[in-house]
Amino acid sequence: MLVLTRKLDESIVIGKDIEVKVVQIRGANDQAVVRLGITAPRHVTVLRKEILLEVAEENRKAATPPAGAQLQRLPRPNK
Amino acid sequence: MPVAFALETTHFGCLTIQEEKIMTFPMGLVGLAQATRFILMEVPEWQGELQWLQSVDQGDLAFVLINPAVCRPDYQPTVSPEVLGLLGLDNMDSAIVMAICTVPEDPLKMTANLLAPLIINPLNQTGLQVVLSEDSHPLRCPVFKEQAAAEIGF
Repeated sequence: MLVLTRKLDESIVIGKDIEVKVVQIRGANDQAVVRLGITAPRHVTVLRKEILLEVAEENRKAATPPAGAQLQRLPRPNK
Repeated sequence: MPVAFALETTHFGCLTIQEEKIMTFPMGLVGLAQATRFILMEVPEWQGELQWLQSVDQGDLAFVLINPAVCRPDYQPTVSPEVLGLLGLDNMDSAIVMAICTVPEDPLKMTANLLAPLIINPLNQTGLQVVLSEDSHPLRCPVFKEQAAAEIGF
């Protein structure tokens, strides 16, 4: 992992067209929170890592459903 | 002569897989990058709105997919041209969008993942799972409304 130190309002540039800027720092020590501003082309997905991990976990839970065999008996849901 | 092989599966017993029916997900699924080959199987009573996605490499790996419009009639995910290009699509017109369902012990509590739908190109039989922007859609959207569950007495 590349580790760079940035102060408030400083940026890093990734590749040709992605910029990450520190737009706010507040709190101190383990309460410290950093707000990042990201500029990237539309086609680049930017997500908090937890979201990707949650999707992976949901996929894992969804794989091989236990009650799957009962699906034939379910009626179509009423809207 | 079509090429086919036998696959022992958890849900369907022994299946004969026709090679020409195999869907390819080149990037697999989120967290399951190695799951790249599947077949789609219908649930007859649901007429295409509910399907199974069965892995052809792992007999114990299968997902229930639902047409997201069943939960959210106005569901129209925004998918970038670059992602569409990976599937050989120019636009969403011919794309099939399905959501992976999480089916708990009580199937009436099943939920659909509308945050990370599957985008499928039926013409070249490729697909991928795209994660939409946060907060745009729920990760777990209930499929059945509560009143329907009570009426059914399932």
